[in-house]
Amino acid sequence: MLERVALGQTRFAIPGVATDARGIVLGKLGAILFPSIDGVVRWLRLYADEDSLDDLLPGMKILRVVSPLKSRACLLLLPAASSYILDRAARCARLAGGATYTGTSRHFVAYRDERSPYGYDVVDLGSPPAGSEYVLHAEEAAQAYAREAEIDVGQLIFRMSLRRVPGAEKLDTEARASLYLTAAGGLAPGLVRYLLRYRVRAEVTLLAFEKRSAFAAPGEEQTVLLRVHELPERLLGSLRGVPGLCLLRPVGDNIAVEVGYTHPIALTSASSLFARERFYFFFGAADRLDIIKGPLAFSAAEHLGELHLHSGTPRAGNASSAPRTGVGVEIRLVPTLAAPRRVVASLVGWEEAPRLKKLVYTLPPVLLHGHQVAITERGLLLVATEGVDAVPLGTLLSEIAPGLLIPVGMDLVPRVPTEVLAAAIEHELGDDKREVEVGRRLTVFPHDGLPFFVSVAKLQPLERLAVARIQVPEAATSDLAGGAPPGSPRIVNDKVGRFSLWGFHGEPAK
Amino acid sequence: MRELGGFLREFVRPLVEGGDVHVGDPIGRDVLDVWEVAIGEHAETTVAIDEARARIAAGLVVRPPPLAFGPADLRLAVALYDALVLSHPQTEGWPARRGRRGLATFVGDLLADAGSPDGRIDVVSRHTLLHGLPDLVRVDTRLRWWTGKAEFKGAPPPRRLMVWPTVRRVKEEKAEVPLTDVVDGEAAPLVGELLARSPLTDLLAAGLPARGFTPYRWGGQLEVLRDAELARLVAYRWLAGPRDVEPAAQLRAPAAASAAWEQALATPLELVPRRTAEGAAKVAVLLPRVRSSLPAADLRAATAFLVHVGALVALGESLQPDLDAPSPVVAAALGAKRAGEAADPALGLRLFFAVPDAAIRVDAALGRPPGIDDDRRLARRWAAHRAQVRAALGEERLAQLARRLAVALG
Repeated sequence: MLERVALGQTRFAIPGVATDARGIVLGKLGAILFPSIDGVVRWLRLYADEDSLDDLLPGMKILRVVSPLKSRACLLLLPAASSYILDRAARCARLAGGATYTGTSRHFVAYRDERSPYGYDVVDLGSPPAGSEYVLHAEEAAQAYAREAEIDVGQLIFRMSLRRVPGAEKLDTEARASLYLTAAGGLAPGLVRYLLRYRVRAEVTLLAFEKRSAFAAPGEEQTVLLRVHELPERLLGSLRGVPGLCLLRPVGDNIAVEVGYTHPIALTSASSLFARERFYFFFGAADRLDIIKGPLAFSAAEHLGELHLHSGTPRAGNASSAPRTGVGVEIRLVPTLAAPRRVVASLVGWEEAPRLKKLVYTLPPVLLHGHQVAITERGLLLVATEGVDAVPLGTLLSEIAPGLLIPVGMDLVPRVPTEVLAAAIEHELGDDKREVEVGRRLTVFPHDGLPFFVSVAKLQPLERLAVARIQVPEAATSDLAGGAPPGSPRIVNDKVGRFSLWGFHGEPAK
Repeated sequence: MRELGGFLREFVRPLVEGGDVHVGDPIGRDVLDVWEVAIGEHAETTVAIDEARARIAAGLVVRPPPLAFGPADLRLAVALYDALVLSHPQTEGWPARRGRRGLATFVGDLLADAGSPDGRIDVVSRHTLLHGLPDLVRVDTRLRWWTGKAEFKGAPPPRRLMVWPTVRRVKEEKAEVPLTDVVDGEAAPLVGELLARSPLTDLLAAGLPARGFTPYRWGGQLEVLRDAELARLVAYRWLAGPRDVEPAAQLRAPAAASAAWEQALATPLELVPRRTAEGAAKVAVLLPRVRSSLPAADLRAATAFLVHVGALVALGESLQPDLDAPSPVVAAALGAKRAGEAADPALGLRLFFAVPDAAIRVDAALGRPPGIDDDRRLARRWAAHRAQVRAALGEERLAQLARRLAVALG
């Protein structure tokens, strides 16, 4: 039986408890009784989300206990540094289905609740059954438990399976700033080339697992770990789901969790479990934890790019006399099975110009207004503005980079980065935000012939060029009301002769 | 003696087209007789004048009549020229007194010979020749220098007076003198008579400040008003002034015409009742109308025209939301204070809005334009105007005006 503790009470029947500064009965330990291990996990998840487990982990024990009637339970012992910690633990325990007690060594009394804000004391301590190590005094009765086994907290956390979080595959810019990428040994060279092609800064290292499979041949489990920085979203999407590749995001200095998954417990609140000299990789799909002996030493991946050495001895030669074309390869158009890009322009040959003229008559005003045209020797380059479908006539062109137009269904080889390609053809890639439109070019790679470019400034609205210049003769006009309105007359007195009025007399003429 | 070509180029053409109208030696009868014969020799100038007149006529009527500068036009132009010679500063003075009188007589004879215009073509023809008359100005130059001053009317100062302007502290002031100040003395009635010879010009110039040398009188203008197209032209020109100015300036022409309309009525003295010999009851015995020279039919036409213009004012306000509200234009016109000057438009402004009320007491058809009841909004606005006039002027005053109109109409 329990009795409520009054404010200022100093003497208690239960041994090893005292009141803290707030007058709350508190022992050195807190004990939370769960009917099963699930409750313990649930409590860990709740508490780790609210507060750091690192404060509790050094003194935390998870015991599997058994009552005299052989009923099993899990008892979580944690240091009761203050009543505030135990208050939070008790609140989480209630949510997880556990009951909280406090005590010091053997006897634990129920922790305070709403009915007794200062805690409880026992009326009669009684004598515990023999062999019992923990006696939990509850409202109804006292229950004795014997210790059966102890569960390591760290192992419990490490053995938890990751949870898949829908939508977590999409990472924002901040999350993509630094990612880990594990790849099977055979995929590593191709992956490095792929990343280098798109100028993704990456560092690479080989992983040496702490526990190797006894059946694995030497070098069979070799895995390459890459640390990639600022991975573009497009590349992230293309790398996701590739067999042999796994993307992980760092959640601590030496912890990484597979992208799209999350650990049930906030690992950052239990960082003391992770040794600093090791690196922990939590894989969600494979449902495993790889612990690597650390620390990891990364090397720059750009040094792993393929180099082709000339087989023969270097020939000495005059640089000025060397042919200019000796180091360049021709850019070609090849069919591709890649997803078609949006058609933004069309190159209408001069043989199809009459059709375009007929088509202009039927084009709706939106299309007519949304097209710009440049007249070139190679044909009429029709460029559709944003939001307008291109006229389906001639060679349809798609934009592989700002200002670089190639026919739809084709790709350029060699597949070099667009910056390299732009530099090779002296094309200035436009940036929509800061480019000067006047100086921009539109470079077109037609099916036949060499590529050519058109200055953006030469583009004119189609509606302006569609109408042929009409010679409108000026009609002779005759102003009905007269050209200029009559002005005001002004009297100017000229000189009058001295005898000018001579001859005028007062008599009327008739 | 001036040459006809020079006269046509330097006087008639700028009078029609605008520009410097040169006035010099007078033109006498004998010269005019020679010119009337030789006018055909200056077809180049007369054609140019006729083209300018045709342009002006095209702005007046839909189908401008063919105009050809002829002897009648030449006589009118010479009459104006000689009238302006009378205002020439070098023709003033005692020695030229007799000659001036003779010249004025000659101008009067020319105007008398011209008579009233004969028909619509003549009305338009005369107006196209003399349309610039009310706009005639003269630039006078006042010159001051360190030892004296001089005024040059319509002529530039001699160069000798303009030299060394800084040393001699020459100050030159130019001022545009309107026609009303140019023609003073014996020239004023002559120019006024000339305006009466061109009734359309006279109508369109009604109320203009430059026309202040002679008051507006109803007379031959009624011939113009009997032509519907010309009457519409006059009515629209009268009301074509800017709307944002005060009513006195906006309705200057109708005010002047209304003042002239009142002059054509019987005087109040004619309405004074004569006491019978027995001294019994007062009986209004109307004296025979001797003062008004305007025929009754013409007065009726003038009254009807003024009522029509008043209806146009009401029509202009018929689009406003509150049709029964007092009109600010009528209120301002009725409340205009007389400045005491003869040309003060406030004299006729009250009369203009009182004409319909006086006319309807004499003849219901005369005081209410036909067709007003077809437009309900116009009818309401017209009634609002009438109520406003009755409240401002009073029944007694309107009744007296109606009696004068009734007497004048016979």
